[in-house]
Amino acid sequence: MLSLPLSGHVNPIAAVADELRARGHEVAWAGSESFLRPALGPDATIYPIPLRLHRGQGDLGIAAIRSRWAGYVVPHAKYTLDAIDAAVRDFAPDAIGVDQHAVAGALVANRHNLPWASLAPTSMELGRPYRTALPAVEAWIQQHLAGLWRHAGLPGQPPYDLRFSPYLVIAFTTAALARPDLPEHSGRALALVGPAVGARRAGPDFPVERLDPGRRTVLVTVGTLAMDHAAVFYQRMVAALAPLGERLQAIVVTPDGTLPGDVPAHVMPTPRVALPRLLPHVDAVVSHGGLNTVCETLHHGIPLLVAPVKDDQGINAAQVEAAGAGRRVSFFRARPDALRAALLDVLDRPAYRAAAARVGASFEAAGGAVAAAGHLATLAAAGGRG
Amino acid sequence: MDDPYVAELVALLGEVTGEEPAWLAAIGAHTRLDADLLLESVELIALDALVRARHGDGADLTRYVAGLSIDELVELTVGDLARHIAAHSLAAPSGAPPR
Repeated sequence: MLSLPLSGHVNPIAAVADELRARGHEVAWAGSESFLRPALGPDATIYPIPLRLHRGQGDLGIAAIRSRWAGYVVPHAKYTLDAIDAAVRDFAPDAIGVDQHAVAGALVANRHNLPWASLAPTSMELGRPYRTALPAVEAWIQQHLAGLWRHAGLPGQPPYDLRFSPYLVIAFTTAALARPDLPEHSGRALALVGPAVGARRAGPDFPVERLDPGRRTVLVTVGTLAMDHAAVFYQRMVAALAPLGERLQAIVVTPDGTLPGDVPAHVMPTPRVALPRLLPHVDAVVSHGGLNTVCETLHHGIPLLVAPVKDDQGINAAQVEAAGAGRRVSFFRARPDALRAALLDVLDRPAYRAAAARVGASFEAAGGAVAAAGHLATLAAAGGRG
Repeated sequence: MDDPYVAELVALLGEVTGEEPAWLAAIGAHTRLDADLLLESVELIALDALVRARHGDGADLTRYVAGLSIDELVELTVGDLARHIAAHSLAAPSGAPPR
């Protein structure tokens, strides 16, 4: 398994790896042990590659696309290539699972002629979102992929888009959510398995006994953003919630578990909490639109207000809206009145909850980590050498 | 603000974003859409609709940005859009004297 040292990428893939191991398969990872070990547990096999930090992660908008590829994906692929190649030679896998952003895995699989699957833990590449609106950006990404192909000493041009294995593409979503952004099927096997939720918990439980069962409950969580981006949004969100104390209570997740200024009693700041045991008590989630948060929320049939900041979050927000499972608001622009109106709409209109439940049911039917493990096991058996 | 096309774009950006007068007052020809205004693709599409309604389909902003490289997109300014509109418009900017 090859991914990037980012929780949102590793967590779903780790759930698939756990399922494969439970079936008796051997799984190894190559990557930063200091990052992977806490995420994977003490028993995981890890071929260690020292963690190297990359610049530009604070960028937004188009600049974030540029820094993702030129400042992260490409240097990370070059930096990890030799260590991954050595790990593959030593471990001799029957198949490789490759995060769409861990391009070195695609290169090594081609070098050794091994079956491999692309894994899409985010929505960023799946629909190749720039191919029509910003074709020069898509071409620029393809140039980077071709450059990596040559860097790995492979002949000519990449025979296909290296983000999409010709063997198998596993996406942790379903058509009920991602229909607007699914890749065109040029002979690829696309497995839409829904979210892969592991046994490990990200953070402590929220004390649900603090919640008043007579009022609706709203969870506000905008991920691990630097507070300088989030401060204004939190301020406006608290102002949006302030007059609603009669009818609802809000759990607001912040990096340090506090909010500045006067916070009304029905607004409860908290540090990072585990979602699985909290979500059954929640009526609506306000999120930045990270795919994991969006999918966990929809899995519980809860509608969303999505305020996307960067990366694939705008894509996820648009998908939530298109599915009817919530609304998109502007993270940078929405004022308290607009946030309040949108939140009340999401809470009060049953259609949002019904649509969220439909998407959640599609996740349940898609099979998650179990289905993904089945696809990978089939791939390994077909290409395996024993 | 000298360029009437820039002035009109600032007004249209206000319509599209709902931002406050102080935010709009800080916008000039050199303001970058990406890093300075954090303009999102849905906002660009809305801006494009307003521009085409005033200046005709030839002023199409989405086709203009589709032809730009990633470095040009990062550096794209309000002045760049104003020049594109001025070059392709069927009409004078609203509120400005006819040329």
